[in-house]
Amino acid sequence: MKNIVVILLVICSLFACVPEDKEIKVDGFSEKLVVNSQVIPNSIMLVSLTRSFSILSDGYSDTANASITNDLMEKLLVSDAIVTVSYGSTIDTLFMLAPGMYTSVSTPQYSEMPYTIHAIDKDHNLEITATETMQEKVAFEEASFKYENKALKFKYKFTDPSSNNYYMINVYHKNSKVIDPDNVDISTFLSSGDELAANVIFPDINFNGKTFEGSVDLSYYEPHYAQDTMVVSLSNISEGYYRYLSLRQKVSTNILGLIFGEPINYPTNVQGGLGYFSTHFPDTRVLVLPLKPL
Amino acid sequence: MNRNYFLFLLSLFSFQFAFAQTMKISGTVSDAESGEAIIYASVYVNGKPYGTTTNQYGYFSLILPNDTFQLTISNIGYSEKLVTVSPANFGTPLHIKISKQAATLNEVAVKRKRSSLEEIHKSNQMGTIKLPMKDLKNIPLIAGESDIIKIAQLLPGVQAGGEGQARMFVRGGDADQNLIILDEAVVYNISHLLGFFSVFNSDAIKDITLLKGPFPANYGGRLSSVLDIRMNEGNMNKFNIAGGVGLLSSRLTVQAPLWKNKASFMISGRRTYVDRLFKAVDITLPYYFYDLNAKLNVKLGAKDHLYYSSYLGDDVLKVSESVDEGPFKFGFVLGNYTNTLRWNHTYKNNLFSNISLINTNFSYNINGEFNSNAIYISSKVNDYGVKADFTLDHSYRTKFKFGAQAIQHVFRPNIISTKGEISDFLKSAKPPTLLALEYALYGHADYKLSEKWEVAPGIRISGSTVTGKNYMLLEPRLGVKYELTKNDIFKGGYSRMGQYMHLVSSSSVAMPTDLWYPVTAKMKPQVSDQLAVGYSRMFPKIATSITVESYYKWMQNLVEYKEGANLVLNNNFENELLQGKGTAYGAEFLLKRDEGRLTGWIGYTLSWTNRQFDGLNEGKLFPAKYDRRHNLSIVANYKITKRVSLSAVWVYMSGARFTPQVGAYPMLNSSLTGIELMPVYTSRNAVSMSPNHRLDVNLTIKCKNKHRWKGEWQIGAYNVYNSITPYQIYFKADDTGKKYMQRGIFGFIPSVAYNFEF
Repeated sequence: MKNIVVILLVICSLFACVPEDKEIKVDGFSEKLVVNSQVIPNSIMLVSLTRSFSILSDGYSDTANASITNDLMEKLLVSDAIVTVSYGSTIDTLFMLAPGMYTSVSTPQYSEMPYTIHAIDKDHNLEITATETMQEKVAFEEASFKYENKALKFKYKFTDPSSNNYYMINVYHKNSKVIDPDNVDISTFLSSGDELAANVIFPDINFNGKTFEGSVDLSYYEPHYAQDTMVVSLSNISEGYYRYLSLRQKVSTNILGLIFGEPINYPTNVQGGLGYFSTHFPDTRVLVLPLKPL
Repeated sequence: MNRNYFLFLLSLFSFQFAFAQTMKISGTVSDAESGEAIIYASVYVNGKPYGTTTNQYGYFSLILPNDTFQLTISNIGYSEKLVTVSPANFGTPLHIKISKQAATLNEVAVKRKRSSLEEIHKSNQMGTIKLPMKDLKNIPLIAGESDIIKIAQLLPGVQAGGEGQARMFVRGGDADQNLIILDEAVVYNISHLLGFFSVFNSDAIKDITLLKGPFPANYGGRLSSVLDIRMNEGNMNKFNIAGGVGLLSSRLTVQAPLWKNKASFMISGRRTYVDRLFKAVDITLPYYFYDLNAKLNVKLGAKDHLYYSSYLGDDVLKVSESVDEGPFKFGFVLGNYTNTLRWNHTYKNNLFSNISLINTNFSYNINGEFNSNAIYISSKVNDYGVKADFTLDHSYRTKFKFGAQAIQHVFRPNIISTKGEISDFLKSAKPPTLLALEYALYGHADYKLSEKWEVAPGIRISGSTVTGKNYMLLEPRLGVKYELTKNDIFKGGYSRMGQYMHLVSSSSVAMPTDLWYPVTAKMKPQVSDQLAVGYSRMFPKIATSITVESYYKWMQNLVEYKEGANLVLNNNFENELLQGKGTAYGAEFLLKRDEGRLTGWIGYTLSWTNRQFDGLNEGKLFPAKYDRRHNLSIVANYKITKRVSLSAVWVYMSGARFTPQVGAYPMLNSSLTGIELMPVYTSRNAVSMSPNHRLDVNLTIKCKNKHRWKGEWQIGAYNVYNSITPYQIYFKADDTGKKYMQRGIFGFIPSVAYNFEF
């Protein structure tokens, strides 16, 4: 009994004294404008503008890893900013579609043309500028869904231009009303609320200048209905945007890296701000899934 | 023609006459009681500027004028011995035995004599520190466990990682840039328990020398430091048992002669029994570590000596439980196994050789079983090497060292075997074995230009052959010494070092999944250039020295992970790594006293170290993680009485660096189907944790000797005033606001241990 008590005392003394945690001063972070963009064929440019925030200041998130809430988004959406897009000798002013969302009605898409966005949020004294070159449009030559050994695949084919190119393919399920594949409208391209089935990015290292046939594995996708309406898009993106997206993908799938790895600041092409101004425009198709084999 | 011919003959005779006017004296110095060779003992001629030190095998060699001299042999903790040498000794090795000095508190007994401290002071080699083994066990550390790596971290120029971690960062280098050798075998994994304890059992260790650079030509393979650790050889005269019982582990060392004065052995073991301790109170802690050192020492004759050394150590975790879903097992075994066979030979009187055959094995095995699922992962590194080192005393002005080595590295990383449903997510894999042959040739000279100037030029040619690529590097070395007075010495040095393997670690703490990889056709060898200048002042009457050194180091082809890299169980590691540059510079101050009633040292370092990688931090320069600006250590041992001594360590250091999140922003995903909150961090390693300081104390009480039994108690405390040493950062949001907090690990920890010897 005495021995046990002695052992317990020893163990207690080993772990009883843990010094008090100590605060460390970290400089605050100045808010910045955040840019997202989407080009819609053939003349619409959509830009979302939000603000970043300091996690150390009051009024925003309670923790460093807060989730997105409506209240938070309300605070961060930028209203009444002055947003322009310039290309060549033309300057288009975007108008606010909704808080945080700005659009142009007639911004033609010219391949190899640099587009520059300039935004000023006077209320918060924030200003950004970003330039990106519109990549040459690459379109699907073939696009279809097939079941192979009961596994769903999206099969596609396109011809790669001879320069170094990078591609993004998105596959998502339209949750909204059934769309007439022959009568697509702007809502086809606004995928908010849709279910993303696959997002694939890849360079053209292995097929530069050639016709490429590929497929996206969707074996894990469970159709909601007998035949879901799917939207697929192919975008020729810039190298900078590709590196930005591939880093996001890597980080999101590397759980151990999140725990043990070094923190990463995502690259940006926005001067004075965050996010990414991308001028890729997708070739979009609306397809209906074939019936799943029994 | 006749005149010229006559002058030529005269010069030849003069040369022969001059050569015949010197004599070569050589031999060994050993402990009179145990027969162990004494490393770095001073051997000098009274009243003359001739002297040398014994090498790692206790061997010395001197070229002296043809006359009779009195040699003084001395070393810390030993009584001086006087030996008369004359031309009659030429050709006969001297085997000198010196006796341990009786314990005394009399400071006058610390009279002027050449100690290893003074030998280092006089050496042309910079950045060299010998750790005083006799005091090491008294230096207080966590839970009273003696740890040579943690003691090395108290020296200037050496940074620790996190609190309690056994990793070393020397002069701005990374943790994998330290060559840590145990009787010439590289030890790849130097720590137990995720880095909290080193694998070196101090009872088995005889001598430790730390070199921070610039380096002499006989060392290579790592950029930043060499920690040369020598094991005890075994008592040649009598049976001896020593050991200790502490809170976390116990040790036992047995030494004995196999053949008196001819052969001996040493076996030393250490095991933690925390698992047994918890088991006594019915708590299962399925973890333990152990270390086993063994050595065989055989004198084959007057000129030949054979040694065999071995080390085996493991960390073992075995969890076995029954849960609702079924039996669950998890475990790992991680450790080193080294073997070295060495042959020393004396050729004539001034050429000494050491030929070594070396084998090192490092491996880890992880296993897990749950219901019908199982996973087994193993990784191994095996080295098979041969080294030949020669020392030639050409004259009393010139000494040469030269040699060669070749090591075949065999890497078997991430062999994975899975069964059951888990194999759908993690496939079995047996990646190809990676082979790398590393080799080196070197030559080095110590040359006295005059009584005041000494130069030590050297060259090392190193290389590595891997699949698809041969690398070769020329590594020039230079040491310069100017003796203003015998007590004031200025030194300078330069060295280029190459490193042909690197540690790929997935985190900042030592993990079982940390792997060593060789260079490849894509991953080039790391290279460093170091320039240093320094001043050394000796106070021989009080056996104290002051050393100030300043260094600048350039590093190339440093290895880091790409952003988002996944290195856990990833055999495609090349594509996840980047190579970049680094610089490190600073100044170090060391006040050291090795003898007397009060011994110890004060070490201070002011340093900067930066990195630049094209794929990190937007390609901008950033501070290294362990860029700690200030590092101060005060280590003191004080003999209160002949039986009682008090040791204390006080450390102050700037905090390690980290990259906190400071903001966030909403960002649509690339398909515009959702929004994510993206973090914003500072630039890499922009923020330092708080500086920290800590006091550790230890009281040693020697028991009264009973016959041959010698015992001592050690009562100590780590972190006496419970100060925080930040180890982890976390974000806190409460009523008082939002802030970052630092958390420490170890507070006040008392300890008690009992050591014995008979």
